[in-house]
Amino acid sequence: MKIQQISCTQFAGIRNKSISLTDGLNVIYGKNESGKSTLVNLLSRTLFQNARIDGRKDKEFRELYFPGAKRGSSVAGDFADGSILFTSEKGVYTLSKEWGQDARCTLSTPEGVIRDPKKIEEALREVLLYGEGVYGELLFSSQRNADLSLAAMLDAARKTDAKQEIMEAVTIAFAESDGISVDSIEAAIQGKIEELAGKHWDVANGLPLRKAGAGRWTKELGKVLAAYYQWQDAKAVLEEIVRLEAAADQAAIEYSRQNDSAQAAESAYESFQRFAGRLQDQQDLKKAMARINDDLEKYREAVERWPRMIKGLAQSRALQQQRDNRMRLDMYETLKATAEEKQQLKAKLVDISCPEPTELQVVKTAQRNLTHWENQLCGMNVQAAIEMFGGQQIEMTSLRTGQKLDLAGCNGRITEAVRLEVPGVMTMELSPVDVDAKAIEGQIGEARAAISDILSKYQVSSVEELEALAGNVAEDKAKLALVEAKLIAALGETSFAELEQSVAMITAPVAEKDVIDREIYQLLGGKDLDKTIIATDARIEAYTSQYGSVEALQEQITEARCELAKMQDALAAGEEIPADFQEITNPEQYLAMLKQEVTTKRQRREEALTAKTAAGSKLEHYLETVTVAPAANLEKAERDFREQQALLDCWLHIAAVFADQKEVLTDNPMQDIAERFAHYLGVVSGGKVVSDFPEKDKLAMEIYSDNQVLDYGKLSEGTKETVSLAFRLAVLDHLFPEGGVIVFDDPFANMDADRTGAAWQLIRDAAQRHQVLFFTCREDYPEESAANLIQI
Amino acid sequence: MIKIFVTGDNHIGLKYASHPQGPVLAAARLEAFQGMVANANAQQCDFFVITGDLFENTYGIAKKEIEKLTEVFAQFQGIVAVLPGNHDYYDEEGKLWQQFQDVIKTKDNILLLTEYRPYRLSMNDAEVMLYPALCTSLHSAPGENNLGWIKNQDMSDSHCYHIGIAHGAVVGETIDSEGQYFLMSREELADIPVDVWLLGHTHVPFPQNLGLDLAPTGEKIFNPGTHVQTDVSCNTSGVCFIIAISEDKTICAQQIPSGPLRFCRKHITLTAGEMETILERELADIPDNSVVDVVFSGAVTIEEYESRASLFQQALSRFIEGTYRDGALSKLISEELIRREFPETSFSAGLLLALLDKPQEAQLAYELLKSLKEAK
Repeated sequence: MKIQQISCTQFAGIRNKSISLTDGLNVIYGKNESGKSTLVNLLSRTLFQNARIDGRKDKEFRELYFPGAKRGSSVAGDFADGSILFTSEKGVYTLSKEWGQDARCTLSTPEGVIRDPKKIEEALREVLLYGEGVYGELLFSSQRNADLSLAAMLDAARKTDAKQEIMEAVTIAFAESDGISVDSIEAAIQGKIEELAGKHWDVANGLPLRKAGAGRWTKELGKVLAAYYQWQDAKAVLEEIVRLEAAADQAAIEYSRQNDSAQAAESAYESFQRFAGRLQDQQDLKKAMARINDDLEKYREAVERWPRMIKGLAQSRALQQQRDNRMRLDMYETLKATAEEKQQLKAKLVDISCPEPTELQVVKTAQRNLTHWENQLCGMNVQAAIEMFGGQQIEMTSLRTGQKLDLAGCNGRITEAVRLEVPGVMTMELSPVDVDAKAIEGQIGEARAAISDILSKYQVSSVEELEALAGNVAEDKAKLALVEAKLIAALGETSFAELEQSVAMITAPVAEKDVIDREIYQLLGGKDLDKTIIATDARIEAYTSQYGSVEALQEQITEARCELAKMQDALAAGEEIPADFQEITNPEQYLAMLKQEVTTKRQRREEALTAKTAAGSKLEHYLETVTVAPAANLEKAERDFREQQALLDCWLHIAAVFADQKEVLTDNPMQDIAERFAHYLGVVSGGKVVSDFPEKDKLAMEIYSDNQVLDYGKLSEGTKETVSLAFRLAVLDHLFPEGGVIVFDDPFANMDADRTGAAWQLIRDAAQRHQVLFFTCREDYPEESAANLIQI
Repeated sequence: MIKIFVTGDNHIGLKYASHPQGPVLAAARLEAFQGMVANANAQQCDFFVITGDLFENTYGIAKKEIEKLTEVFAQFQGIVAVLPGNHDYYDEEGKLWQQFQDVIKTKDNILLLTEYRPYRLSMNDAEVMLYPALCTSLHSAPGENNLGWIKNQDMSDSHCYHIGIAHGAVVGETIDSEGQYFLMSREELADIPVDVWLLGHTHVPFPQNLGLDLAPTGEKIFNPGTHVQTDVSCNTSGVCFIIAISEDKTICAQQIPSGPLRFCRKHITLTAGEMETILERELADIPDNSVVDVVFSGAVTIEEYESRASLFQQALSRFIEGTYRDGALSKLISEELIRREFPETSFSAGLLLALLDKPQEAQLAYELLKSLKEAK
């Protein structure tokens, strides 16, 4: 931007003034009170003072710049105005403002004229690049404002610490121009975040950080977590109430259910109890009827079968008689020969003497002994040579047989014991050694006598005959026994004579067996006749025993039918008993079961009532401990928590914006300004005043003079002007590297000649790059040939 | 013809513990009955029916309150029939109804409906059968209600008025997603041949189009809502119904305003320079008998912000209770203010300008920077 013209109708003490300006150095000079500073103010106010002014807020403006505003002023003028003609790369602009009753603001741009204050502000911003802060306080600062700026730069609150004061005096004009360090802002924002988030809040998830082991954090909670815990507590209270209410409900519902169930059981019991007696009677009646029906059935069967059985029995018995007669007859015929044989054998055996077995034994034993003894007497082998003298005869008798032996016949050879006798002369017995021939001979004699006795008794001649006789007798006896056995087998205990006698008594003709069998079969089928007769007889006997007679039974049937009819009448009279109950077969047992059911269900009801009362008490006691309205408290706690959370979000966003803003500072404009400032400071002071920057990224500057650190108290007015000039030029160069506008209002008033010369040279150099409006009351500067000289 | 004054969900004993004016609000619920009974008498009603939740709960109701209430009931010229609802569910072992029954022994016109059976009443030659579907617990088993026994009743006697009284949620009228508030459907109710259903539980009345004069409605199901608005979540004015049933069973109904107390929560967004105007405009339509809770947001001028407390208190003072939260309200941090307070080149100014579109954050940052500046 380059300013071409500044003009006004009236602005403070100047009227109808217009000055034209050029690029480079413009020296506006005039005597004191000629309006130089007013022109500087006209420039900044026209650019930045709203046309519409507030009576209270802008009172100072009105008093300063409205010609007739001051109380008691005789000067007319109820408004002020100003107009600036300037150029930019886009073209020519004219900004006109009038403050007062008919406030107005107009900006003529290359595109057209604007009256909307906001649009004018936007258009100016585009051209000026910076706002009132840069122009009003630094670049277009009037003498008075320059003093104020300088004062602001140097007038630190803590005047005892010169180093800090000077540093602040410098930094206050720029990024930390408000005296607040970026670090302190960052720390304060972080402090706010920590105050809210504490150490345990998970910002990303909106929840507390997980704590090792369950439980809550107790320290360094932060407002959000504290509010969160309060919210959770409030929620827990409501949840506990809901839980206890649900438990109470459940218990109440259960009680209601058990009560219904118990009442139903009681009702069922009472209902059934009213009918139980009658139902029992009815059941008894039914049972009795069933019994009678059963009896009647039996009676009917008996009365039907009984006569048939009698008739059948008679037939059976007739057939049985026929069959028995036939059997007797047949048996008689069969046994008749056997019986005769028996008689014959018996007769035979009566006539025959039969040796007894003992006798046979005796004979056999005697025979055996005889043989033994004879053998003893045998076995000799003697050759006798006998010569008889005297004609004597010698007789040789076998001791064994007692018979005479012919000596001649045996050629003198004697093989058995013998007695040799010469009658009247001698006897000699020859026998085997060790054989008592005599004794044996006696024994043999006895044996032969015994045998002979028995044989003669039975008129037999030999033992064999005797044995044959015994055998024959035995055979006949066996035959007799067999015959007798046959008879016994056929007749049993009956004798043949009895059979014969019974047969003799059969007078009627008897059918043949096959005829009789056929008739039996026709009558009984395959049943056994005898068993049938016995069974039928027994049944008839039983009927007779049970009922007496068929007639008596028929009477009994009649009586039973009468009784049954009476019972049916009684049963019909009891039909009002509910159908369900009528199905119950054992009312007494059923009633007992219902009673047990009542007892059980009453017990359950009691238990449910106890549980219900306990659940209700638990809820009630819990509610007594809750002093707030739980739902409202929960709502409030949640709102509090949400507010704290929203606040944290705000601060987190502020921190994010802060970080972005800080990022912009990474180029470190301070360093550029500080270096330029140090350079200009050295130039103006001739190297006597220097600055140092111990920290490269901060404008933490120390100012020295003659190697002495300057504190505020040692700063002269001239040095203050030096610092101010150097700083303003440094800022101008930094902000407008392509050229800007700066106003100097008597900047060297207190500098010595050397510094004035150096400063003036510095300004002239600056005018090569920037448009400089140099206001002064001195006459010597206008002689500068390179300058556009304007006298006011 | 019979005339029935119907009310319900009265929640006597509601303490409003979180409200500064809790006792006043609690008393308003009880005091409203004076007017209701007077109105019922003036309209020559035969019955005064309470459709459940007469009381807030079953354990914390003072006997004095029961006595006061029943004294008012006793002034009614007809019969007062009280149905236990889910909040004051009937429990013969419970203190509430034992005390209630004890108190009404001396009053011969109050009938507590405690059994699932028809109650036969005679009034001015009219025979009336009440069929109560009372509650015996706070919640029901899911999807269950207490209408079952009524479905089996013989209602063929056309000379008798058959009145069903039930307490519970109604599909389409009340939110009961889990069906734990004795949920009933309109179809289920319509299928039961009573002449009229008098319901409770839904604090908002239905039908909602009843006029202030007795007129035929074509409706059979009536829920008078609450007689005095209970809280801000129940957006309704307190009303009661009068139902008239003629001999030919034509039903006429009207609504009777019974509780002027209103609860209101407003979110008011204020803008700079207009705080007072907006406040006046936003609160203008809210009647004095209201409990008002305002949440302020927006950004106002510093002057407005500084004076907000007194302004809000003054604006809310005409209500029975006026509370507010202004955590979301902030000072308007304008560019002009930033430039006035902070040098343009300063970091502070840059930070604040970057936050201008977030008024609350701008204010927070502004306050922070001011405090830092003042601490220097």
